[in-house]
Amino acid sequence: MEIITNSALINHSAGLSKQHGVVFPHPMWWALYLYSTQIGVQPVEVAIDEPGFSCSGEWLTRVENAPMVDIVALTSTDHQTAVIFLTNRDPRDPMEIQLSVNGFARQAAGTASTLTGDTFMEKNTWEAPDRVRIRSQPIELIERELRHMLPPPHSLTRLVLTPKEDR
Amino acid sequence: MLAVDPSIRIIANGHDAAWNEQVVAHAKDTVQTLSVHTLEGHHIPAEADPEAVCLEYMGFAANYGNHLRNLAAPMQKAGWTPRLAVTELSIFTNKQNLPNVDNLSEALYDAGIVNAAIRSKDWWRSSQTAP
Repeated sequence: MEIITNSALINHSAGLSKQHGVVFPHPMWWALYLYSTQIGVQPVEVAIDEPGFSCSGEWLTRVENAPMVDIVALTSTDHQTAVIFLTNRDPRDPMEIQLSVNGFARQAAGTASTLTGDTFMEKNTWEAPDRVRIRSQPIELIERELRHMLPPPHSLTRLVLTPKEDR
Repeated sequence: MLAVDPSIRIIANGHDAAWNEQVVAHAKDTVQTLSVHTLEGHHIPAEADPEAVCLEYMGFAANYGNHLRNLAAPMQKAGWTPRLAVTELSIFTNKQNLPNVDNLSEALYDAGIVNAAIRSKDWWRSSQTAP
């Protein structure tokens, strides 16, 4: 993806607002932050086994059995960093995830950065500019697996992993 | 403009597949990319259930790769390298009691759109601003 313009920085498009002289980020700004500050450039194959959801298409598009957790994975040009994005689209429930990472280090460590709020309707205001924000925690890949991940409902998580040893 | 700077790349206004087919037929010598404006939902009523609306947007994002392929089909049919530029993108209910551009729904929706772009690799561009 190539970012080719930088317009409408305030009030729409870029996810920033200014009220009472205070500039604050909307949740979508943080989502773009997570994508634009990662170093993965090469998409890699993702195989998923998970529950899906359907939409009637009453207002937008009829969809059958779409993945409830949307996942993409990328590696850096030197293949020393793996980046995985997980969006838990479920509006109510967390989703326990077991992740197996092949073609990468057996042992790796890194950070999970999660953007979420109390509900999918949560937003930031000039009085509470960080109600929806990123929370980070360390993660560890052990024997190619990351177990018991629990992305909260209506959340976007970025996992960044680097090897702890040679492959 | 091209006479002054031949390196300029031109994005023409795209719309649906039928419109894009006409643009491709008439502008293939000057245009490299067609724009996409994804501003869905102005017709959703204020009394709609917010959770159902949120899931509709998640579903739309899940199907976005197919949407792009449909819009790019005229370019492929004409032998072009398909390139689309999403130059407008947001939830567009314009109702504060529903998923909207300023709440968390938008972040999740955008993530789904960007994921579709990653899966499509090099024929998708975005003009959404990055921090």
